[in-house]
Parts: sequence; C-alpha cells; structure tokens
Amino acid sequence: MRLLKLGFLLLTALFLAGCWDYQEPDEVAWVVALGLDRGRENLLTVTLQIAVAANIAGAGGGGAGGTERTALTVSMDVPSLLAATELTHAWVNRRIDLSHTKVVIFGRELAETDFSRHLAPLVRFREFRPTTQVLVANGRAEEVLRAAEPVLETNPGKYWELHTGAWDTTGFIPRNGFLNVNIDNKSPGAAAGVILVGVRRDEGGPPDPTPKSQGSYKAGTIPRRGGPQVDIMGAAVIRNGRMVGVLNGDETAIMKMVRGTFRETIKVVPDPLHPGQFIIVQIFPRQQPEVDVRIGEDGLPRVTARVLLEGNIIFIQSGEHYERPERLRQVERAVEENLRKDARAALDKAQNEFGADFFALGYHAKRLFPTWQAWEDFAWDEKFPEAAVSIDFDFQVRQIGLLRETVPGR
Amino acid sequence: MAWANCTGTGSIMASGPRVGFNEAVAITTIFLSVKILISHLALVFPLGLTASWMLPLLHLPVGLIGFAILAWLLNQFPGRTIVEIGEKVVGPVVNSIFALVYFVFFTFGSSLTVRQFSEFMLIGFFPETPISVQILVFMGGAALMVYLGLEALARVARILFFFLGFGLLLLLLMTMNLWRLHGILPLWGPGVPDLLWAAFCTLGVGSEVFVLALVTPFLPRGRLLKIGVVSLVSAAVVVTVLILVPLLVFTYPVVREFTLPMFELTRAINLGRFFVRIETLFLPLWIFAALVALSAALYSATAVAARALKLPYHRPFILPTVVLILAGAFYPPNFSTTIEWGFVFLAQWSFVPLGMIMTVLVVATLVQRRRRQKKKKR
Repeated sequence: MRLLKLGFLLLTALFLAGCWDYQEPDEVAWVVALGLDRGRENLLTVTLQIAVAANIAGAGGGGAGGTERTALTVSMDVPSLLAATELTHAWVNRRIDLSHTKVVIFGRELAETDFSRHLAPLVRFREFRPTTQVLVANGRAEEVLRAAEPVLETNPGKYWELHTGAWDTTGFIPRNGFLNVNIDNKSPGAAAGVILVGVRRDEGGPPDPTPKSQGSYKAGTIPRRGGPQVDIMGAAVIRNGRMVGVLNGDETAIMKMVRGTFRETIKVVPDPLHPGQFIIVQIFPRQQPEVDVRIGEDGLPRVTARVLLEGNIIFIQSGEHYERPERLRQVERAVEENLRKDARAALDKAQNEFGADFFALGYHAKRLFPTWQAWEDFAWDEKFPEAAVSIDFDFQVRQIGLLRETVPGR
Repeated sequence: MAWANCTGTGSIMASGPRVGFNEAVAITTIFLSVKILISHLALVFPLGLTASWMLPLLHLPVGLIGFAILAWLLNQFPGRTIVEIGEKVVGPVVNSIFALVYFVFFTFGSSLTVRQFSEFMLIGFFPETPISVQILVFMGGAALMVYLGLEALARVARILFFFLGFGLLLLLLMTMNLWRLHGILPLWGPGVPDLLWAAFCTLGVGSEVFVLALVTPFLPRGRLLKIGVVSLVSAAVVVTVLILVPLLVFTYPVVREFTLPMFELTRAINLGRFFVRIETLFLPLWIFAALVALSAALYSATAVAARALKLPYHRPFILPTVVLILAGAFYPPNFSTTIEWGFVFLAQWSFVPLGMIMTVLVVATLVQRRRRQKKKKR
C-alpha cells in the first residue's frame, strides 16, 4: 500500500511541470531590444532585435570574434507594438517573447510627440519588465538598432545591459530604467531624464582643436573614428509625456548629482595658475545631496541644493605642487567652479529652455504639503521655471594618487 | 485522529484536536494578512493615497476592541464555539440564520480569494494553464489539509509562518535599493478626515479573526484574548509594512496602477545583473500563504456546518463546501469584477453582518445574565 502511495505521488510529479506552460528555449525568439518610430506605412515602425541564440552559445568564452551574426534586426510598420510581435510570426518560425527585452528605444520624432502614449501601456503586458531600460534615439530607433552590432560581446542582451549599466562608471549616462522613467513621467514634481542613444556621426566638423570637456557631447555627435556604431551619452528630457530637449554629458552629470544617482566621473578642470593646462580629477559622491525647499512669500519655491563630493587627483599637467595639504583647497575650488559652470548651464535649460524639473527638486518639496490635494494644487511643474534655485558644490580631495609631488623634467 | 469532532450539545470530546498558542497565532495572522498578497492592495491605494500604510494602524484599535468583546462572549461559555453559543443564547431558529451568515462569509470569501490567487498565477506564472485547473489545484490542496484536521493545519501554519515571514522580509530587503522616501509624502495623503473615513469603510479587513470563534474549544484555556491580540497586532504590522514598501518603491500615483502590487514588487527587484527576474523565487510564498488561508476558511466553513447541523465530524462537509466555493469562484465574470467583489465583500461589508450578530449575541447574553441574577435574588 505504501509503495502504491509512493508510486502515485511520483506519478503526480510528472504533471507538476505543467502541460500548458512548457516552453522550449530553442523554440522561442527572444527579443533583446525594441525600437519604436513614427511609422511610414502605418502608425508605428517597430524594430525588433532578436537574439540568434545558437550563435551566441556557439561563440563561447563570452567574447566576440566569430563572424556569425548574434542578432537579427527586423522592422515593420504596424498600428501598435504588440501587433508587431504577432506580425513577426509571418517570417519568424519561433514564438516571439519580450520577457528578455533589455531596452526599448524611442525614435526622437515619436518621443517628441507621443512618448507617454506608447510607453505607459507597456506596463500592462506581463512580458515587459520594470527593469527594462528606456532610451531615446537622437534620430530614428530603427537606425540605432540596425547599427547596434555588439563588438566586445557576442550576446546582444548583455551588450545592452552593460552599455546602459555604465551609468555607475560615468557621469554622462542617466540612471533611469523604466521604473524611474514611469515614476517621473506620472508624478508631479519631476521630469524624466532618459538615456540618449545615437548612431556615430560619419563626418567630423570643421577642425577646432580648442579644449572641450569630454562631457560636452551628446550621443551621435562624439568626435571619434572606429569602434562600434552606436553611442550612449546625455539625456532626453521628458515633460508632460513628450520629449522637450536634450542634455549633454556634463549637464546629465549635474542632473545625476542633484538627484543623488551619481556614482563616478572624471573631470578635466583648467589649472587656475597655468592657463591652457589641466588638472584631472576623479569625482565620487561624498554623501547624498542636501536639498532644502521653501515656499517664498510670493508663493514661488526657493530651492537650495548642495552637492557633497570627494575625489582623487589623477593628473596635474603643469606639475604645480597642488598635492600639498595647504594647496589642495586650490584644486577643490577649481573643481567646484567648473561644476558650478555646468550647473548654471543645466539649470538654464531646466528653467528657461525646457521648463522641466529634471533635477526632481519637486520631490523634496512634497514634505511641505500635508495632503496630496494640496501638493497637486500647488502645481510645482508650472511654478518651477519661476523658482529661485541655487545649486552649489562642496568638493574635497581625498587622495593624490601615487605621486606626492611632480619633479619637473629637464 | 485530530479532526474537529464535536457533539450535538456542543461539548468537546476529550480526543479533540489541540491547537497551541503559536499555532493559533500563525493561522490567524496568515488568514488576516493573506489578502494583501492579492489584489486587495490595488483598491487600498486609491483610498489612502500616500498615507495608505496608516490604514492598518487605524484598523488595529477597532479590531482589538471588537475582538475583546468577542473574547468576552466566548469566555462566558467555555468549551463552546460561536455557533453553539448562538444556539444557547438566541435559540436554534435565529442561530441557523447566524450560522448561514458565517458559512456564507467563509465560503464566498474563499471563492473570491481562490479566484484572485488563481488569476494571479495566470497573470504571473502560468498564462497558458486554464484557470479551472489552477483553482482546482488550490482547492484540492486546501481540502486535503482540512481532511487531515485542524491540528495538522495549525502545525503546518506554524511551520510555514516562519518561512513566509522570512520570504517577505527577503522580498522587502531586496527592494531596499529602490526605496524613495518621497513615496509616502505628503504624509497625510487624502487628509485626516478622508483617511479616517477610508479606515472606517474598510473595517472588514479584520473579520477573519472570527476564525478564533470557531476553534476556541481547542485553544489553550484562558489564552484566547492573548492569541487574538497577538494575531491582530502581528497582522497589522505585517500589512502596514507590506503597504509601505510598494509605496516607497513605486510611489503614489504609480502604485495605484497595479493589479498585483506585491507581485510587481518582486518583478522590480534589480540587484546588479544577476539578481533580477527572481519572482519565481517567491512563488512558494504566494502558494503557501494561499493554501493556509484557504484551508483555514474551508475548515471554518465546514466546522460551522457541522456544528449548526449538530454532526460530530466536519469531514462530510468538505466536498460539498469545496463545490460551493468552486461555484462561487467561477461566478465573477472577469478578474476586474473579482477584485471589486473581493474588496467590497471582505474588506468593506463583512464586518457589518458579523458585527451585528456579535452585538445581538452580546446583548442577549447580558440580558440573560441579568435575568438569572434577578431570579437568584428572588
């Protein structure tokens, strides 16, 4: 009897795996990236980048080098995104699955008019995940996905994950996955800053060898030759459900610093004593920014943001002995002044150009209101352009690298 | 065997099941808290806005007072359940109506709960599996547990209590990197008057504590009040935290969009490239919690039927009650209606009939006591 019971239990285990929901991985087409553009022959042009799993597995070792394509990119004109997943079955023999989609890229033209209208409904679809990254292309998403061929990776999914995940090693990539974008997009008190992606420019501009910050560019405008076709740099600002403008790398770093999502950047600062020469510092957050919001007698917000940073000197071109304890303050002041300049530019865009609080200063103001109705009635987003906002920086040098002083060459 | 055997007169046989303090607290706390894992939360956020987390704390004092009254009533009749007390106090005719109310509360409540859990599984994990199969699996598990008896159910609840607690703690800790403190600001949400009104309108959330009125004879003597208080406080803490965390992660108003906020929380976990897509890790959490709660409800319904009909065993009622629960589960035409009905039935209105019955029983008991005292004086 006991054996019979055991046999029955083992038999029931066969059904635990389910008859309905089984899915063989080699019968599924995993979409790793999605592109949405204004349509040519229908409402939307949807581009799917589908991983060619067999080639990824065959490459081995995690590195590229094989000649076989690891991603298949296909575009189609359809009335909606999910219609595209069905239409794809007309020429793809596997079941389309979006549950491994790493990025959704909006074309600029579509983002400027209908960003929210096409992003918000995605949440309802179970295959779409809140950890997916949202990007805006500095052009058409279709072009970006066609150009995006992983060079250092064989796996296109990993390529997108690592590329967008570099927000923690650079200042110029926003930290804004779908969850953050959705929150900023739907909550009063903030505007979203979405990762900007672009196809590398083919031709350089006129020669101009004057010094420029490496963060002064945007995706698709970086002066470079060779390497992958796609750049990620800067942010697209979304207000009231549509894109209102673009931030360059330096402005994006300021946005991250004020929001408290900044992790690390390298700053090239003019040497205060040697014009034309530079001090290079690596900057980290010291603690979360201090943001104080008050409402003035005129009913407008008064905001003071203080960003607390620390960092390491990694290069002094002039050889000036800034490393000495009594002279470190000179470097700190130079860095602070440089950051203030970037902050002024970012703030000018936020208040005068876009009218969008991409610093999310409004979230700090919520505590001033007792009820949700009072907070909504205050209409932060409308008052933000008139607000008195000051952003200041407090930078402290922590390390001076492996050199205590620089002996001049003879 | 340890099933709930009872005599027609209501006295408990010496071989009846024994439910310890911890077991009773575990089963009651899980039963009280389980609705937070399904779509109940989806309708809480539109009421409490950013202050939704305060609602369980506002419910708590009312629940404690209500349970203190219930415990007083039960303590007046040692060894009897609420069904037998009703028979003694208001007579068999009125009591049969009362018993029907208890039975409907537990069966239809289970119907709406099992339907919501099954829809949850359908949305989250098994989209191709027919909902009928999912409901049958849940109810099959609950029926087996109830067949094994109250003692087995209580022990399983006690063991799972720690696993469920650990699972929920893990879930909350894994979302810590996503917490945004402004999510609970403005602090008073809809404003104090509206918040109090929302708390009043949802007083039914504590009705499940009524399960203790059906297992009283099997509890440690003299500890009923303590069991109820500890269960209510534990459930209030659990529910408060489980409302607070989605608010901190998704913030208001985004949090009100979701059908299943707790499931959405597991989907949002993002700890580096490796700790993502781990919602299946929490699948046992949902299933075990559902099984314990459904078993407690099924046991309560069968115990009510057995005692109302003065039958010594509850087992013969398991299958008919399961059939009724299944019929009720398939009655709502869609998930959206199930969510609405579940909230209206369990959270909003359940306390009205149960509260009225309690009031009648307490008043009748007091009147009878006074009469007895007068007789004695004469």
